[in-house]
Amino acid sequence: MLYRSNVLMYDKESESLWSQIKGEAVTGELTGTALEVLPSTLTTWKRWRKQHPETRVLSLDTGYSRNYASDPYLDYYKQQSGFRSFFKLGPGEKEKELVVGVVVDGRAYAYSLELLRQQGEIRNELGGLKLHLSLDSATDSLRVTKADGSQLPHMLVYWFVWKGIHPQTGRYQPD
Amino acid sequence: MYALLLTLLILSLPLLAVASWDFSKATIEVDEIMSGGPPRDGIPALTAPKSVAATEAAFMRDDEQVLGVFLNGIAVAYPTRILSWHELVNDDFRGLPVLVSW
Repeated sequence: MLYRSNVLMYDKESESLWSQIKGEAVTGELTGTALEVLPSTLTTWKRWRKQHPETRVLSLDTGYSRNYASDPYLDYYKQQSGFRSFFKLGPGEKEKELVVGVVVDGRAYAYSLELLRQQGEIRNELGGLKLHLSLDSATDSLRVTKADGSQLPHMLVYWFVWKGIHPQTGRYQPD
Repeated sequence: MYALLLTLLILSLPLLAVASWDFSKATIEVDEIMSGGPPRDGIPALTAPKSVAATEAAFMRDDEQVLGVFLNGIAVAYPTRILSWHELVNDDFRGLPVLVSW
């Protein structure tokens, strides 16, 4: 099931529904229970293996019969429009552009991945926090760091999905 | 336009299936929950995922997209061509339960 174009998950014990982007249960017994967002990297197999030679990889032996030869969403990744949009785009915005989404003190904020890729890093003050975003072009490793060096959880997500779930989100504009 | 209408019609048919869930305590607008198409468990989560070493992964192509996770000293690559069929993987990184959600 979907909520504003974003997947809803369920847990088999309570059958509460969980929002992927919100990272918390949004209906049922566990409503309000939050998941901790952990770091992950979207990259190519070659780059990942180079950085983590000891890596394991999910097996094709999943117990299910599916056509794993190619990603069924390859066309969807490339197309301009989203599954279903719930707002009007601002100037220069694209539905399917990837953004780095963060939440600070309940306030959502988004940074263009393309801009981050071009600049390599972005420094921004958000809700009193000095944030440093960096993207390593060799490994696609993305980090959002606070002034004290600790990591701020973030998500890599399509703009139309982020804005659908966080209608009040701010968006970083370069000077 | 007809194609769009047809799509919306198809999307609205499985809405009936949405009604069987417990929407108590909801913090989102329940009338905005809709079926994505597949029925319950139509996109089955991987709850006992197996992995292989990189050296045994002859099926992997250099340029293919993976979601990489490195936690508790363990690195695992999740090829998106598998994730797209399952969307969820319940995995374990040395005792740390991890949900991979795609």
